[in-house]
Amino acid sequence: MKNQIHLVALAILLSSTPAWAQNILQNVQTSAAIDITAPLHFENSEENKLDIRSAELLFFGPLDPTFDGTLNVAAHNEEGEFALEIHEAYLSSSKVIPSSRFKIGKFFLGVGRLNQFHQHDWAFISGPRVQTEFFEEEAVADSGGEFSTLLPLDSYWDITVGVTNGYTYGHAHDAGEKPRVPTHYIHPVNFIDFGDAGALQWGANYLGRTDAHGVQTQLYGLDFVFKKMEGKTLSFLLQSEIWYRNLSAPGTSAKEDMGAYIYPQISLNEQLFAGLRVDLFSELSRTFASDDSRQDNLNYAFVPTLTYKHSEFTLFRAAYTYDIQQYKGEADSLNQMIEFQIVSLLGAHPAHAF
Amino acid sequence: MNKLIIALLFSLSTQAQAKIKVVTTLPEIAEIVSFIGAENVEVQSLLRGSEDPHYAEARPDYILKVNRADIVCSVGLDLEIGWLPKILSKSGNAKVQEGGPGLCVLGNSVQALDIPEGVINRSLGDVHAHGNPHFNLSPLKLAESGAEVVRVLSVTLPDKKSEFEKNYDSFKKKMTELHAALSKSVKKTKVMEYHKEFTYFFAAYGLESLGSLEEKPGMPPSAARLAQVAKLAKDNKVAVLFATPSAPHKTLERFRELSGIPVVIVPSYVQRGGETKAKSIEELQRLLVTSLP
Repeated sequence: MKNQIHLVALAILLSSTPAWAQNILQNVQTSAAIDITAPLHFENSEENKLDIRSAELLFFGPLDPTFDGTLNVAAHNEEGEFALEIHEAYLSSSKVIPSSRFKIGKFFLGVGRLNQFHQHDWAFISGPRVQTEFFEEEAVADSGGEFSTLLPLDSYWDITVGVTNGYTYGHAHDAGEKPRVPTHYIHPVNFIDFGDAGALQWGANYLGRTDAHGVQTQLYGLDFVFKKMEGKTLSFLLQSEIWYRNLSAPGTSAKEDMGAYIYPQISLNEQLFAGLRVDLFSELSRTFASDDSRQDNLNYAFVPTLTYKHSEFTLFRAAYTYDIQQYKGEADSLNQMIEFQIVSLLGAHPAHAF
Repeated sequence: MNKLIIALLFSLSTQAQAKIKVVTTLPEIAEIVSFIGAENVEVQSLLRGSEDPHYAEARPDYILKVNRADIVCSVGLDLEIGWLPKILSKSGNAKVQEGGPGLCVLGNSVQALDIPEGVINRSLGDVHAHGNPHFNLSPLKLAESGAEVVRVLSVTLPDKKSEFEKNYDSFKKKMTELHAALSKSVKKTKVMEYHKEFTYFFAAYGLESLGSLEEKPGMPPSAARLAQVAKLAKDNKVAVLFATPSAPHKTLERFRELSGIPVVIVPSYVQRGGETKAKSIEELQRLLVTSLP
């Protein structure tokens, strides 16, 4: 609680900088993102309400001629209370080592696609199951170091490697325990230009960690994003990730899961965009309790999404989720939901990555 | 040992003759840099002129080009703010980043138009706090902007400073002569634009502009605004409305129906690739002038 008060005080101090100090701090850019959502569940209406999913304050800018600083504090609604926490706080530079950049501090791990973006910057409202199961509702953040370098080749190959404490993984409000092997990852990214037809960025991923109890997590994944711009409009977007996870611990059999999503989106006009996300998830190692034989299962969902961008800084979005969980020998379970979202960005917003 | 020294000297002399690699955001900036830098530079543009530089993407192939560059030249005045900073930082090239010797922002040497006064916030639309960045449509402003190119090239190759200055004088002369020649054929009429992209062009040739169809920059006009502006344009006998291919065609068509005023769709940047009559600064200027009634 004390820390939260300090963070609020810091935010207020920085955002209410007096005029005389504006000149001194003109390179500190500030921004706020308000993410309002209203999920309407068909099967269970008890949580149906419009609420602030997150409110973020971002401060970024050069610290000196060599280093840059980023501070992102976010408040999330967690069971009726807003928990203010540091999402990202790091020092970075792309001026020290040629063709390379690094950051030290706390940040969203540079793996996959969704994990590197704040939720309000996603192309849809809520994450697919593969994201929420393997990472986090929004993203896995941790403290450590991350290094990226461009290989000296004719084609684009950007390699990111990172090592973070790994005391916790995903969303946690405790300090966690010292892991046997800290979180470590590698993410090589390549780019293919198809000229007027568009351009594709794809990456391969590995993430590993062994927690204090010897549970080893290994994640392997591929991420893709294809974009076609026409003038100032993103006329076509195709985004996809596929991940495989292996959880193993001494003396127990490994737990394997696999998940994916694919999201094509077209522009209906300059401001209106329609997309359809298809999600797949399967517990590969699931067995029947009676004879330990494999129990086939599949969780799939269709999420048509409509986005209206009033401006670069305000958007309205609606989505319908049709989610089916199938387990062999059991009745299918259906979950349906309509979600609404409003995203508002105040102040400077950092330039977008591809 | 002698062979080693000769090889080393040969290598050094090759390096001394190596061209400065310049990456520009727009084709017209590439043309200016090529003119001033002449045989000392190797220039390529990230955009081809068909994209909207407000909304371009921070594409990885741009990052790769910037990574290999000695100098990066942009328009500035926040035109490329949505994507260029990401490219510069991801390039890992210290020379071309903020404060580096190879960052060349042409807008820094231009006296911009439309600098907003008073409180500036987004209720005004996509307003550029440092002024209208579309100076590329005025030959005279392009001539002004070349001073920044000379400054940065001279920092990188100080021995060639006088050569760059001489070339810059020729460039200014070329732009001035182009402007003078085209001005003769321009009839002083009343004009409008969809977005404030043609403001410098109108100002350069003394055309009286009744403003833009957009009420606020970057925001499509409402039906009421459209009707209001169409009436204003008709009453004031506006001769033509200029728009770029990225402007909403239905809105332009509606304006044409309501006002009876012709809409000319022309590029606002020099175009690279494809069939176009605007492959150079001169060609684009001629295309715009001949598009006037």
